Amino acid sequence: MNALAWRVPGKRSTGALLKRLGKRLGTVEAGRVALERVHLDTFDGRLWRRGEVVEAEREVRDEPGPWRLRRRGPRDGASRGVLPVAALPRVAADVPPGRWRDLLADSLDVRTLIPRAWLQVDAHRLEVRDGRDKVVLRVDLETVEGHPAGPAGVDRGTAHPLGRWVLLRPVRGYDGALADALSALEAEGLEPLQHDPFEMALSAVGTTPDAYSGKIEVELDPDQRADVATRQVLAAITDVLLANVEGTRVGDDPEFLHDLRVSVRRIRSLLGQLKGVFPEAVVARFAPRWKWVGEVTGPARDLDVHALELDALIARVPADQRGHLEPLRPFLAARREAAHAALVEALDGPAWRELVEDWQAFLRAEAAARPTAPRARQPIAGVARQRIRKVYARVLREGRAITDDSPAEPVHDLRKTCKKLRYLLEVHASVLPPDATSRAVRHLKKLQSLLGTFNDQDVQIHALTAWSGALMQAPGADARTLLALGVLVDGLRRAQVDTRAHFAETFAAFDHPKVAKRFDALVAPPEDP
Amino acid sequence: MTVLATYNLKGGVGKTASAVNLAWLAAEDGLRTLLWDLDPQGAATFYFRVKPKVRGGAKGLVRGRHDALDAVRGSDHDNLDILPADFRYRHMDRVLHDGPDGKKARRRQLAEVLDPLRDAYDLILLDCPPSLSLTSENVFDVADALLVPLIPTTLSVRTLEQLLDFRRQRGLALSVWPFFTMVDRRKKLHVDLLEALPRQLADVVDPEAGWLSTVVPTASEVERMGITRQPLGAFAPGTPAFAAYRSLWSEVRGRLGWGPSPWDEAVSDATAR
Repeated sequence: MNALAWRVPGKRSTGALLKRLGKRLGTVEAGRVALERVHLDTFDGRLWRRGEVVEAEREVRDEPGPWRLRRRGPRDGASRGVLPVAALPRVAADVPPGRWRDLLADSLDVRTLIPRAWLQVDAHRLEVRDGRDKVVLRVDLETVEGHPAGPAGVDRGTAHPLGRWVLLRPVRGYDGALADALSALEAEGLEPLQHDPFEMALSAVGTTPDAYSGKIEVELDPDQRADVATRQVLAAITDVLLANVEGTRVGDDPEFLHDLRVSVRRIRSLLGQLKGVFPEAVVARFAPRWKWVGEVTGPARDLDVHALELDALIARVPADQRGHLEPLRPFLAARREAAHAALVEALDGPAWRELVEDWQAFLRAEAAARPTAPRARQPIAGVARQRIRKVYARVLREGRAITDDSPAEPVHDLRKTCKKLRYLLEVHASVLPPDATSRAVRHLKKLQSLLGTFNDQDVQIHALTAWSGALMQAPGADARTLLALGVLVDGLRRAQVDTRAHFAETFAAFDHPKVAKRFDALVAPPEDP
Repeated sequence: MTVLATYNLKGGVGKTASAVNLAWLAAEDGLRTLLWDLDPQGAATFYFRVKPKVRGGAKGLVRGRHDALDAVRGSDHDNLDILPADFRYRHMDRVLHDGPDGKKARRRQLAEVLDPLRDAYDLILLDCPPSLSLTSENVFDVADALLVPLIPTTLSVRTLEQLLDFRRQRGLALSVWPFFTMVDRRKKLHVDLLEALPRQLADVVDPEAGWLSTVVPTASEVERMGITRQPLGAFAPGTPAFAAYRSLWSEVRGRLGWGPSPWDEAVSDATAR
């Protein structure tokens, strides 16, 4: 409930209400103004999740004026500060150093701030003044239309009337005026808004500020047919995937492409792992096409990661050499732009469009009464357990085969197998013992973290080495650039050796009787009641 | 939290106008700003239409009987609050003298009043009374810099010399940033002294971080602040006087290492709400 925002019922006349409030509170009219108000947050509502609402507001004029950002609490509406900005900020660096930048830096991580909802506001402004003509309270009666923004914050969607409300803007130190206003609004029969205006703007299209999550949480019935259950899970993964397409097209928030690719990997993993659940023809029809999606999105993602890590990479070389690596920035940016353009071309093309159509048709299709796939009608819980048992055994086999002298390839293979195991655990969590599952995932995460670091280092070494020739032709690059690059790659190689040196102990911690016990508990059939 | 103080031993040189306009500009930049009107005259408080009353007066605040935050009043402008004047501040020196033993402790009493406000504000501006007293010493102790407005006359500049002498005698690590106000370029004396005084005082005013180069002209709009009871930016944003204060604020931001104002790039006239 927002204590400072009160709903005006549909049947109440605006003019009459203004007059009555004027009488009760002794308000003076301070003008009527048309406002544009934008709720800013990340796609997954990171500001909302930490109890912050950031809205930008400006008057509607022929020449648009500057924006004012306002921070407030979601449930009480109390203002936490106002900041003028020339343009809507997208990242922390778009606002001056200070509390605002700290808030955004803490909250956004790698995501960008996007318009989540646009409001068109017709505001009647009232002021309560004291005997010194000092404003002691502001009262705004607003008639509001909301336009939820598209997934990437780009398009404005359809306008929905959100209704009318009275917004109270208290002034510090004048609590009496606020108390009088609250009593007056109660006496007028108004009630506080049950939801924040941000929530109301998004509920018009059936969503909430923090609705999006990349996690797959599907409640499965353990006895459900495996093919039906797996279609459910694939549908949930596909929803996440499609939710990230527009943001991927826009390209300035790397998490969209990241989440899209994770979804593709999950789809490919399930199609590949749950053998016998779907007919071979279905797998043959879709597996290569999802593989293609993984391939066309890979280069752009790799370059996103390089861009995100560039500052940390440059910081690895001695301070007097860092400046010589600056040509890497425009070099990377140009490659990233080209990769992104290629990605968008693929998403605009018929192969992608047809894949999505065919895939959705497959997901919607009724399950066959007599399926040809041998495991289609088996209960999903049993199929999942059996598969997890096999992949877990494979992780152990592959890990045990790796020695200090093994090349990098088996380490990368192990990383991929661990990912498959992780996806199986996560998407089938609802049919597995909850405690055992979460503990198993915890152990697996530690191993995956080391393998991921090893892979990242490998990718960086290979990329920097492969680019060295082209980088030398880049503007501003010279022999010192190459030398600094050499120092950087050398440092990365040493770091990778260090990572690899920790493999044995990290794997040993996973290949431990305690962990084996967790997995045994996971994959054991449930006891008869 | 940064503390600045507008200070001059001489009255009527533009301390309050400077404090009020700089506070408004800071708030417009998005900084949570508090203006404490330490002058029992209460001119800054008057400009913001706030009642010049603080529960318990100087004693209540300094002895910690009443929380300074409880005395704060929001102005009519976003991000800008006022800790009002109170006529009982005329007893401030006596209250401070009757405080704790020890010279250092007695000079820190106003700092202790402000300590609880550190998290609530980015900038506190102190509008000081024209005196050189224990109140002033408390201001010197807590302020990160003194902004010293000077009318380019011999008498006004004498007071700067007196301040700098005081600083030197007490060995105070105090930044003093003088600037010229109420300048009338039709007066030859003003024009001559504008040029001569910085040179004359070069030995005692730090050339790197001393004189602020902005010159604030004499202007009827500044006098009209007393009628409109608003900062210049709220009613006269297109005037040379406001432009001068904006320039002054930019210089102060630069000295504090805060970079340019968000308004410097895209917006040339301030929007009054």
